[in-house]
Amino acid sequence: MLTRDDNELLCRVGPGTPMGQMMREYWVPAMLSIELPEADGAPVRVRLMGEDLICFRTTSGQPGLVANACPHRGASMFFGRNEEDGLRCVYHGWKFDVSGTCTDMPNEPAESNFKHKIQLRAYPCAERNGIIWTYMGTRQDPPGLPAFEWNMDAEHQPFLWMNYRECNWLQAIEGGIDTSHVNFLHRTIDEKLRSTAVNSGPSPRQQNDLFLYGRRDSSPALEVVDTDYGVMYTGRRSVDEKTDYHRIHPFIFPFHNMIGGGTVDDEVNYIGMVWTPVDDDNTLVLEYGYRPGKAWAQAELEGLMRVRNPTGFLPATSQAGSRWRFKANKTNDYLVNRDLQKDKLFFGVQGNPAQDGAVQESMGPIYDRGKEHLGTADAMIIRVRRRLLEAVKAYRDHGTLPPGVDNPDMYAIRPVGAVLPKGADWVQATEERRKAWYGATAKA
Amino acid sequence: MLSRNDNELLTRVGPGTPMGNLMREYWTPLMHSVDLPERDGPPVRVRILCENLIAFRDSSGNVGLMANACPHRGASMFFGRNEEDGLRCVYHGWKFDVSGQCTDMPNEPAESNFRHKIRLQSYPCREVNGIIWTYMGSRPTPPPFPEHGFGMVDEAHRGQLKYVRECNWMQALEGDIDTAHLGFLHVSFSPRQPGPTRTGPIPDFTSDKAPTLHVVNTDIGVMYGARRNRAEGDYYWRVSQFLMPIYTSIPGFGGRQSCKIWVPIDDENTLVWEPNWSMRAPLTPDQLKGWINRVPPSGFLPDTTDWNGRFRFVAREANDFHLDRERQRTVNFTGFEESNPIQDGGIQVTMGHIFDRTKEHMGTTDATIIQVRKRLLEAAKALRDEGITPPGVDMPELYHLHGCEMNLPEGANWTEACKDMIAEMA
Repeated sequence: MLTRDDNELLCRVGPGTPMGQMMREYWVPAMLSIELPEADGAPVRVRLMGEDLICFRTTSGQPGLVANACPHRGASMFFGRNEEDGLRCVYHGWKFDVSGTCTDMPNEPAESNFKHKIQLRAYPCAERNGIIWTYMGTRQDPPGLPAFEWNMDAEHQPFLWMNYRECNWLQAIEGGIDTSHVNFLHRTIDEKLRSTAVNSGPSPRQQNDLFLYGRRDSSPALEVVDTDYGVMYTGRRSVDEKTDYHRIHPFIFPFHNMIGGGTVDDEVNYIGMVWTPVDDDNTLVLEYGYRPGKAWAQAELEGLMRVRNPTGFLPATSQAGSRWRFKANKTNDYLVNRDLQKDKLFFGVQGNPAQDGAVQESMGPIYDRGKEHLGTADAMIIRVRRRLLEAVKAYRDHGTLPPGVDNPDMYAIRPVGAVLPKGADWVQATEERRKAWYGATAKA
Repeated sequence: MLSRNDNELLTRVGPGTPMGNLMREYWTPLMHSVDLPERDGPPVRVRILCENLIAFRDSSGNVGLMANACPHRGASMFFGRNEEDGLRCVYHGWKFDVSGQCTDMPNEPAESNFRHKIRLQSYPCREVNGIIWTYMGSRPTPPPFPEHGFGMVDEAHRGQLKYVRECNWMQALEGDIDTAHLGFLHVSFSPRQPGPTRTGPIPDFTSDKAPTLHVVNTDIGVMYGARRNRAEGDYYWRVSQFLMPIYTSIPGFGGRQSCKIWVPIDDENTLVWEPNWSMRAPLTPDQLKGWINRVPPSGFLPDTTDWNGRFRFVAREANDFHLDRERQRTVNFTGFEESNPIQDGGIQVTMGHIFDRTKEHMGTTDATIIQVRKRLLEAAKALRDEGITPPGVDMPELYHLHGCEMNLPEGANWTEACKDMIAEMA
């Protein structure tokens, strides 16, 4: 349970809010490279942390991210002409480069120096292996890009996609650090459906782990450990008299988590999510899945997409994030099927992300945490909130930088699954397996 | 005219409001049994008195009515699995019985006693003769069950019609205690589709358009007689009842009695029930759907699962209630469809969803409306300020009152005549 003040402090992320300012210290994903395919192509609307922005790719292929409103008289740069390494407002022809510098002001006298005084707000972008990252903070020189393993390997692209969630970022990410709901919300009752597109997990092997070990014990014991990057926890489920199945998953500042670590490293599809706030009431969930050093075949990618989103996306519009909206959504009760619910799927909604979205959005746009009742299975959620609150208060009151901003190599970690003897030191036993190959801590 | 404060007091019915608290002292009709047909069937979203609730019928057939939000982390119970005498949240499997008690918490250790401390807010329900009632008040033991005529008969004897009106409950209710508008709003220029042959007096609303109102308080509300001159030299009396807190009864005919219930969905939407009933004979299939001409030719919108997704007419505010100016010239006074609920809705909804009663100008034919508001305001203030139980809560037997009509000579006692008629019908 949170006080109203703490709930507000955690959830609000617009410009000037403590949490919003703290998040802006980090690089955040603005969009996927495939959303901005062409040099001089059409600009794209982006909404990030309550700011309306326009993303465009210049003639030389560089991504730019600028404010929606032209500094002249506020016309939208979405309608801009993307030409000759800059975006030109269609109202009076003012032109800006990716740094926001006004490079042309053709409706003023040629001898005027007005254009040198004008800046369009612009955020630096860095494009790496399919992701356009942006830094919306106040530093002149942004920190280093986080060394996430999934974003380091140009040769072996991860399975990469997003989904739009109509609720606050925190209640969305809380679903990602909540192992006990997997036994309920995502449960397949009819075993025949286990490996089909109707409701299957991340990979056959991991599904097998969940089925062999996870399903037997629906009340996992949680142990939570603070780390340099955030918080790590295990959800420990009893396998037999001698062993436990551990699912060991991290929360990483400011809004990342990883799940789905398998027990056999070579067969693992490592999965993670980035819960980027669109604004206080909406979240874009970037999801990745990768097998280190291995590429996905096209058919595999298509199969994964079918599993994650069986009912497909709505037709894209020009609105921000629209291409990532599900056909199964709030307006149609997520296509819940009460017949499937009876004896096939515990929930009756198809696809894990739609299942998560349904319950999270049903709490309302920003859940009032004064009304909740947390149990032992919520220990990770409680700790993550506490870490976030500590960090945001230290940042607000003392200017203390939050964890990881200046330590990009810290992000080179993995989630793991493990079957260990009862009473084993799960932190120590999995230490090596939790390190990523790529980044500074690359496997020797 | 009401002060702004009194208007707010009269119309707002959410949790904690004085009028909302008053209404919660009474049993309230929630839905028909047929609206929740199946044991272990899909739960249904219900919005009533500004609260979003989930109704379900458990394996034993009991009806549960509970808060939408799971007490764990607020997921909607609408998606819940209705199984083995309880509703189970799909997020983490917490399960609740119809009393709101948590009966299973499978994601916590078996030895944990956490579940004994957890309750989902729920309201007791009673299902009687095809109607599901709920008590949303604070008494641990609900008050005695009201003995409404329509509630005492088998469902084969009672009309099933319900519809949403997109305005505050009180301005909707005021239309039913306002006899004078019958001579205008509902006038057709040629006889409507003929109904069953009427016995008793034939009302004529057009030859005397300015009825004289006689208003008296009853133990549980307000009764009025509207006297109209007749060509024969005597009077046509039309007697209607207001019963606390949301019931009206105008005269029935053809051996059937009339009642309407104005259940607030929230401050700006009302679910109107028309449980017209006959003590003596089952209704015909047509009569079960509602009295003749009550459902407009354009009918109902398809149902959705949304909070306010059922019982909505196609003709509504968004399409000017299908107003047709040619029909206004040649067919009827308003130009709306030949259906009283559409004509009533057309003018009530367009007053604004909550009418600002500081702007009205009341005349003599509004005497009943004035008196009913006064009764309601007095009762709400007495409950708020002194904790006085409002009229009727503990007087279930008084709910047998209903409207009636008669022709009486000059000087006859209309209240006595009415009493006799009600006794005769019982």
